[in-house]
Amino acid sequence: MLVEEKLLVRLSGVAAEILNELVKRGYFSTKSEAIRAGILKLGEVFGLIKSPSYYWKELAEEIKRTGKRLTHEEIVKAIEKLEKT
Amino acid sequence: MKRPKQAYLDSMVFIFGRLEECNSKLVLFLALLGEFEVIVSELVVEEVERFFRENFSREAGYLAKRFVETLSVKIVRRSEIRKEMNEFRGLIKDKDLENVAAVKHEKIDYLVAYDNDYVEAGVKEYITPKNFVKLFGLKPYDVEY
Repeated sequence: MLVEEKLLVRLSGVAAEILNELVKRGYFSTKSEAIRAGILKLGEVFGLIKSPSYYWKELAEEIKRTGKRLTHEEIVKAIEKLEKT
Repeated sequence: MKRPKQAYLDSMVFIFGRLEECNSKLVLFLALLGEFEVIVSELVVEEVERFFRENFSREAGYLAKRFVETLSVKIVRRSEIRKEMNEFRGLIKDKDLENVAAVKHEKIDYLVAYDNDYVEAGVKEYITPKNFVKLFGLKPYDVEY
């Protein structure tokens, strides 16, 4: 179950300027997305969460560690099974 | 053609992208580089977690889930797309319904997946990983996925 928080954030001054600029320059499609990315970044800074690259590499290591290898056909079958349930 | 700013990624992109040398892997690299924003739904998070847990290990499931969650700028919740789910029920196969409903709800131009059912259902946002990476000027692998 995903946790959800709805917030009304009032920003002024530099924070508001930065937010507007991030969207204006096209780094983010919306202000909400810029804020979400910022919170994830804060989570990384404070050690609550790692970056996507970290999980990407760790997942590869874990797969290797299990010693299991799936053929293309096995992956397709496993996806089909996933979609049926 | 204009480069996409956002795309919805189907579960299979995360699965093939981690396990094979293929276009899904290139799609994920582009996302990791911040070339476009990833949007998924609760279904994708659940399916990817379950796939890696059932086929590899509990730890792999956890890492895969975290990967999807941190890569995505938005995870569309089921409660947000009830209206679209009802609208498309019967027109879209049940397994694809949540993906299509999320794409319509968020008004996303691209649904990256490799599944002919989307073509048959006339989902105009559907694009294969191969065609998606071409939009970024990359040379794709021969395979569609």
